[in-house]
Amino acid sequence: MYSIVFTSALVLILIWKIYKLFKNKRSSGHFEDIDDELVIMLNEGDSIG
Amino acid sequence: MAKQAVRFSKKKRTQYRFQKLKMCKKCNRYSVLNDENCPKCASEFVGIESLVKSIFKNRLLTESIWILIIVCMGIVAAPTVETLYYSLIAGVIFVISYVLLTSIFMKSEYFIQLKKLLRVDFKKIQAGIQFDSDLAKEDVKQDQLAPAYEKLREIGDFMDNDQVKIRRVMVLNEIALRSDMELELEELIPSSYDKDFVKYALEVLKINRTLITKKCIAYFIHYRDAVVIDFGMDSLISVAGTALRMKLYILEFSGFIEEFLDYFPKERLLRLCNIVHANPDVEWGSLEEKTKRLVAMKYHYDPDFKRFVS
Repeated sequence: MYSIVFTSALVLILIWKIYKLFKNKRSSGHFEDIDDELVIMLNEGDSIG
Repeated sequence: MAKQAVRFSKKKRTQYRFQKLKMCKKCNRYSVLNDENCPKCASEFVGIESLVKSIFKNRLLTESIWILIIVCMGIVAAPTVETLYYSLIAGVIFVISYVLLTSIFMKSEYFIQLKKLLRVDFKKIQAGIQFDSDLAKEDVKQDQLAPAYEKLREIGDFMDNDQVKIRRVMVLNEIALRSDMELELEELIPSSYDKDFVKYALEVLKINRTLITKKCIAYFIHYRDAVVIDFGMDSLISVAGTALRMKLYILEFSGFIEEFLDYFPKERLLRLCNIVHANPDVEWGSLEEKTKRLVAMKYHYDPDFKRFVS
């Protein structure tokens, strides 16, 4: 019984980790997008000059 | 006032813009300048990539500690020796799987971490660039134009506004420009008419025609009235002459070129004739006719134009 509970806990953690990794993989893109986003963020309502 | 003779350091190129971001961990301030050390506290800057990697490592370390605690608890709480061994084996398999999975998805994890950091620290980055901008202002005040321009050039990679562009142009107008300098023009085109920019563009035109691009010629055409008022008709003639640099530009700005055809020096007209002559299948419109007429009228005696006079 103890072995089943312990293994289940570990498997659950692993499933949660896989879910998080895939979620991040889906929402990751190209580094060019990060560049564009950064420039847009910095230039929106900017006052640097 | 005499222009300053300076030498710019080579612009540091990176694959992505964000790679130029660095942080002073002591001041908690970002910078986009080329300096290796913080001008405030003199401690070494840490590049954004190293910063993300260290955050990522810390996150992995925290996760590893948690995993170890869970596995150890499982082993300690095992009621029998058999279950103890079982927990130990399960724990080892679990740790190996965890490490493997993380390393397989390393790239996307790094990407997410970087994105998160830039979003969270966006205000800090903005403040850091403002600080860099103030340093450039100080340099201008102290008449140190080369470091001021180099700072503004780096800031310009991130800030795409007229203020930064005009400040760069104003500094460049105080410098004696040379053809061996790594100059920019298209990147400095402001969104409205600016006398300083036109002055700089006309200076660039004299030393490096290749920098006068389609966008730049279009700017001159758009603000031609203001350009004529401030710099005279000769400036527009020079720009129209530069449009002869490429066949595509001649086609795009044929009307503009045609307007100033009569004022072109011989060498420019000869270039136009050569291009038109070498591309008989291209539809040049009235430009071809006007060029032929002008050559027949002004240069019919000139041996350089002999092959164009029928």
